[in-house]
Amino acid sequence: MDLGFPWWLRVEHFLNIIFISFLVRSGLEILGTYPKLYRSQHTVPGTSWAQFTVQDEPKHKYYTVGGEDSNYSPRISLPGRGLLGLGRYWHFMAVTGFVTCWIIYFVLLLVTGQWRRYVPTSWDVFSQAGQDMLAYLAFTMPHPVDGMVFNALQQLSYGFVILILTPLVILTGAFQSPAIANHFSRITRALGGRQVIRSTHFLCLVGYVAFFAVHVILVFMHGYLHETSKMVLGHSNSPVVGGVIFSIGLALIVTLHVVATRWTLADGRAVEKLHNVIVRPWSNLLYKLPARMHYDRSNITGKDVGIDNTTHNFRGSGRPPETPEYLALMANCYEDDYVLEIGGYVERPMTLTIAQLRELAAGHSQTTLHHCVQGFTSIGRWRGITVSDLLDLVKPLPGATDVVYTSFQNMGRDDVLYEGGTYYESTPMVEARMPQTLIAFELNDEGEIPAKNGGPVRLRLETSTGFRSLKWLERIEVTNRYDIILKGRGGFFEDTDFYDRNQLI
Amino acid sequence: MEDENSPALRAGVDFRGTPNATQPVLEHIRPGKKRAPLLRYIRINLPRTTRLLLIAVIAVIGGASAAVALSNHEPFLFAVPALWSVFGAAVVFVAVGLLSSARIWTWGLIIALSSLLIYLGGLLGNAPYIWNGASVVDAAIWNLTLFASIGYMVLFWALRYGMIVAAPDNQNFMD
Repeated sequence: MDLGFPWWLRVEHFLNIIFISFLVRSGLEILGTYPKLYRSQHTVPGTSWAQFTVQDEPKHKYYTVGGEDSNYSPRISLPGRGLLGLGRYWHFMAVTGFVTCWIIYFVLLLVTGQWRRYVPTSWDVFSQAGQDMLAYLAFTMPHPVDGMVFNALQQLSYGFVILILTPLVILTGAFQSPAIANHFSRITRALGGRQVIRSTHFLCLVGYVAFFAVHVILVFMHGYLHETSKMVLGHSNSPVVGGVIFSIGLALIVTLHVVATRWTLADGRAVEKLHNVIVRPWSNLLYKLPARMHYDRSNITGKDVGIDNTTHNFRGSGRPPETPEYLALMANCYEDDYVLEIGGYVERPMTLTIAQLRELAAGHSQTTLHHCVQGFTSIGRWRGITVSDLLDLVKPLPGATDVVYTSFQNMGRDDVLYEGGTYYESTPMVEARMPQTLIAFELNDEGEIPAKNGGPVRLRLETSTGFRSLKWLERIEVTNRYDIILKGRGGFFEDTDFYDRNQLI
Repeated sequence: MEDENSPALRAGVDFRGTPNATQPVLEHIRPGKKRAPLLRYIRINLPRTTRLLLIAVIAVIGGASAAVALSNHEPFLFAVPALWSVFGAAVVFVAVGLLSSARIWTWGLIIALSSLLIYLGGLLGNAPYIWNGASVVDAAIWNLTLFASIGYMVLFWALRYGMIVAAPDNQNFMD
């Protein structure tokens, strides 16, 4: 069979340059907001195996994860300047294209028989690849395998990138989605946990960059015009024409990056709209995956380790409220003074003290992995009552669609990293009714939730990234629309920054 | 110890009286600039892996030098004793590197530079290239001394720059 270079393969090659370059740059933006890589899910400060920052955190003062981000240049990351939300938008848009492209390519490889170009059909290919490596080292050019369009070493390396590295990067990317990771939590644990998955995802990036570097060097060694012509025309009979067209294509991709970066920095909301059109149709399907995680088994032995498996010092993000009312509540240990209001579009609005919440919860707890949008993780055993049970008590009226949670915290007043405004979040009813959407009042059997982690009462939203698990909860309100609250995007960070309310990835 | 609850003091690092005690500090940013040089952002803390990698690169240099010395293609006059010297030094380096925790990286640099010098000497002489009549294997091994030497020098530079760190040292990340 003459493998050649069919048109769909050449199109895929060009699209991959676009998608992978966008994935790398937006991936660096995401990495930059928590520029530390770990092997343990507990992300204990000082234990990272790599850091990509020049910032040293304060040694004698409490700091939140919000201040740990690194501000990369827009020349390196997309869009740069520490704009995580927009970097995520670009990453997920590029993911949509990249994964679609890879699936189509994979199917075409199978049905056309072109899989032979990447899958060795004889063990001899491996020894031949060794010979090819020696030939390169000896500064000579190895010959293509009989009937093939490239040599054995190329076959193995391309096969590795397309059939091993790419599925691995897709898998490790998917399992950084809180909805996927917490639904298929056994697979999450089997893969080593969130931080091992995150580190592996980063190493895949390194793999792509290394492959790209060697690939480009070899293209020049084999002859730039000759090789690029194959990727444009399917043959090398007109190397100048093919090479020129390919070079113009590369210039267009560079231009695309420049335009995308400047456009994003100038008009983030427009990028958000584009993201919602491209990504939401598939990311909303993840609402069908309710969290069902219980970290009551160790990753490896299967032995029940209970509370020992939780993170002893659960990382804090955000700063506790500083109002006299909240400080008075804290001073009185919350128990007698704190009252949670649940009202709005319900039949029976009510108020509940922590003692009443504790009684209603009847000892219910969940041990879950916290997925910070920036990247840190901690495992906590949360005691509380599900939002679904609370909703059953207050009986939402027909037509109720959303649940809005309001915090004691006022950003800006309490946390100088952000502009002012009451912190709030909202969940669609489907998310509020999920079995692990919890109103928690105790962490790790400590009797209460520490102030830095959202005491006395907080929301746990295990299908979503961490900032939507609102801390320092003051009031719950059932509504029939959320888009009339403040800027109408469904939450503080959704309003003031660039984060999707449907934060399942 | 004045404050046993301070992780920094417990680690023997006293930041009292410095900006870093209570504020984040940005390192390596030159006056008038917003960001540090790109490579300053990369800090890998895999000390034992890095130590093994450095030893492995020197082992490759030593092994390749011995193979060139044993081949029937002398790169230049008196190259064989020089190649065996590199091999001997590499054996000592690998042994010391594996059996002790000594910081021997500058010695490794001398070995890598010596190997590179021999390679450059070969360019002026009759190095075992294909076009000089050598076999593919001999030519590959000869060129391996070049790539491994350059590789060690790059790693040595990264070590000195602070991008990587080799045991017994580590990055001492305090976040």
